[in-house]
Amino acid sequence: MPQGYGSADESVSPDTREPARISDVSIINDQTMLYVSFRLVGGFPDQVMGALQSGIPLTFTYELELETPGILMDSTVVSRTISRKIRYDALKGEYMVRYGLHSHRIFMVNNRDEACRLVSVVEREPLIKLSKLSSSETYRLKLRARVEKEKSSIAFTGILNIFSSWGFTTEWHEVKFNY
Amino acid sequence: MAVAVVLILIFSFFQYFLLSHAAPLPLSSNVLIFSVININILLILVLIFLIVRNLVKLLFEDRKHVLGARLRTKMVIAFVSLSLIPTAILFMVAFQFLNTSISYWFDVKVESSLKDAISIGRTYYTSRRESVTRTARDLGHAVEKQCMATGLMADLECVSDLLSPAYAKSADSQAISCMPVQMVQFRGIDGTEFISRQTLYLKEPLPPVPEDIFEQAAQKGSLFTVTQKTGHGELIRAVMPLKNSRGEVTAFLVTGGIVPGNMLEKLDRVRQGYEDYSQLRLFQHPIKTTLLLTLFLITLLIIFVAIWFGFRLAKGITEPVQMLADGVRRVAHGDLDFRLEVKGRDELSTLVRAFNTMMSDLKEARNRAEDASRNLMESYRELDNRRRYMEILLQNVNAGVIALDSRGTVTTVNKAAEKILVITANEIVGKSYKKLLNHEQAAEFEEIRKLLAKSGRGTIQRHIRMKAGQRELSLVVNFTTLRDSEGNALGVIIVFDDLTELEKIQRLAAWREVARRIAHEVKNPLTPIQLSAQRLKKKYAQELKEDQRGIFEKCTDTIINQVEEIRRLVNEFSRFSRMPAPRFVPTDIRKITEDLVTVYEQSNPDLNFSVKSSLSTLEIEVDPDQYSRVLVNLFDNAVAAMDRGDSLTVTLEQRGMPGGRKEAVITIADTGRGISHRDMDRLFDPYFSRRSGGTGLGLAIVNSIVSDHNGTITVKMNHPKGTVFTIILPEKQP
Repeated sequence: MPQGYGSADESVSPDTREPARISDVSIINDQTMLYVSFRLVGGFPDQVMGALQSGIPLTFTYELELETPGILMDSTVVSRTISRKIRYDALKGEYMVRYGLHSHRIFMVNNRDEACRLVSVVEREPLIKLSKLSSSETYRLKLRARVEKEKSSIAFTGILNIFSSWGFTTEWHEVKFNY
Repeated sequence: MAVAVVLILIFSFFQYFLLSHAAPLPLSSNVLIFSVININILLILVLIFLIVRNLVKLLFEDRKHVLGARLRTKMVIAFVSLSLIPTAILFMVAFQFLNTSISYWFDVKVESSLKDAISIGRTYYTSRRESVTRTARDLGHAVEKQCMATGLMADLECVSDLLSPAYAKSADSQAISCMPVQMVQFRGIDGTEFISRQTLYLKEPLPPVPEDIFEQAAQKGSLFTVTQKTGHGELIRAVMPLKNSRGEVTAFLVTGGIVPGNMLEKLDRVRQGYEDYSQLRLFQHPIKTTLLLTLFLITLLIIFVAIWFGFRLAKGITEPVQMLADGVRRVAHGDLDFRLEVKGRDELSTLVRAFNTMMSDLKEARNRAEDASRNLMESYRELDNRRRYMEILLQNVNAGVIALDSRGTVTTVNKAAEKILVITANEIVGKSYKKLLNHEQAAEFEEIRKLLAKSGRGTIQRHIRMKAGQRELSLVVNFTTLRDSEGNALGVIIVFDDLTELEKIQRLAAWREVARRIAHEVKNPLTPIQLSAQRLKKKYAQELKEDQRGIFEKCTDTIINQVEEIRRLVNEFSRFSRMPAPRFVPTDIRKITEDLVTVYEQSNPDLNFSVKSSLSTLEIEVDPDQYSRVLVNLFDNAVAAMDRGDSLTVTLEQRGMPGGRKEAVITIADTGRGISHRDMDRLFDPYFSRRSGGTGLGLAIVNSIVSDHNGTITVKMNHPKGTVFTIILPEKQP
């Protein structure tokens, strides 16, 4: 059964003009884990917003790859995928945001900006245990976002996708840091 | 082409399946769809290529006037026209219809109606929710003010009164009631239910409020709303945290209301319709493009399939015609083993079957004809062999053979006849004997023919002398009537042998015998006669008177001289009859010839003599005495026939013969008075002489010596005058 959580902190306005990109990446750690926070900017262009408002569920997928730069090839230390699903209920006028593909962490919000913020902002997402990192090693964190339409109630969605450019994938955003 | 059409259909079906069923398509599926569409397009291109190829082929065949090409062109044009025109019209209508329909779909009225419907639904839902939350908030505040303001815990009696269905008075004198909601509960801080009022009569118990809601509400201190699905509809519940006089949350007020299931279904349908419409509107242009593209592709496919079908049908009709034409052409070239492949059971296949039957009959007839021809050929070959054998026989017999048909036309002449009569077959074959013979000969042959007709044996033999060329021939001729198996006269066959040479030999032998006898009988009395005459002259000449003595001496001298002359003749006869056998020794005949010529040069200074030869010596096996005698006889005759200033030239040559043999060729040519053609044949006969005082034995002796030397001697006229004798002698005697 879906459960609703209310929250009304900060809001992220969906910028429909700016090209989608990853921004405000911050890497923090506590005593055991390495966390990452970032934000998707321009993640709701007109087409995506139109699809969302028409009731099509959207999936925002964030790909994270932690690498150590090598001479010839980089070696991947860890790779993660973070998903956010969003759907608008036109009857209730509320947005349902689900964290993860099958997670029960669901947010029901009436405010569009709030819904967009829930999708676009990733905060303190655990990346890797510190014990798996080597001290004084340089690491590179690569991030990118991908937006896809989950499903549609109308037929021939496949061919419609061909004739209507859907979704996007951002460029890789890279951050280097030393542990 | 059929394969391409089938593949297009399969891929189209696969494409439809993918596009209609695989609604949430990831990237890989899109790639797959792209591939399928591309393959489809490629296949259509292949189809176009095949059709264009067929069209070009048809065009070329039409220009080359290939049989059936024109009919096929007409049929293809008819099919294409029949399919293209309605398809094009249908496409145009469908195109317009689609454009109009899609515009109607997204009509403004439809959109506003749907928006109104969703707005009404949202209003209803929101009002239900607002009712629950407002009641919870208002009642919660009332409970806080009236029942919890004085203590740490709530006054339950006060709360019970306040939550009763009756009216209550709030602090600000506003009317508060729990009537708008269908459920109200007062719960403790731990969620324990103290008071519950419910106007819902449900078969199933209500689902519990999630525990964490209470915690969240207590932490935040604000109202929380939760919706839950039940068997009766959607249950909307609001949890209001209640604070005591110290501001601590010590209890919760929970209100609830149900949106009925049937209403919820209707609202869902409204929402679904709105969302579908919104999505369709969002996909308006892609849908339009897709439908038009699909329409276009289907139209294209129909056109191409129609063209292909046209080709197929045209081919089905014209192919048997072409096959028949090809078959007739091959039959014309003699190929009767050719059979056409029979397909189907229509009229054309019946025609093809009839053609095959005709071919079988033709082949059988030809086989029969070939057998007959082969037999005929064999018979002809056998006949030809026999004919050739007969011809060979005819050509190789020494007797001359001439055949005449029943009309007297010469049909066959063999080589021996050509040689004997000095003619060629071409000159007389095909001509009537009447044209070939002179009047006398024709009369004689007519007489023979009549005798043949009368003769029971059918054959007559005659000895005939006739002239052929320059030669006088002596022939023994057999005339035989040719008759077939039924006894009908087919003509006359004339077989003759040349006895001329044989007669010459026999005559020479006879003359030798005569000469020998004359010499024997005459020679003996000559000496006594001569001696007697001399004795008479010696003894009685002195005794006679002068005038008588003269006569007497003249007579005795005449006797003596004539006897001497007779002796000379007898000696010649004797030499002729007693010609010794030659003694062959290798002799340089050039030297002998030159020596003799030198003698004659000295004795005949007013004549010109010369010897010509490319050889310094010419040595052959001859009897030198007899060779010298030959030359002497020939030179004597030549000198006798030459006048002052005439010349005599002797040419000596050597020539090779088949088998490595060699022979000497001696030519004695003079420019004297020559010999008439009439005399040439008898020139070598004994006792034939045109010269006064000649015995007629000189050339007979020459001929005899040359024959004894296995050689030949011939004579011919010298040009412009004179005579040429040619002697051919072998280098070595056998």
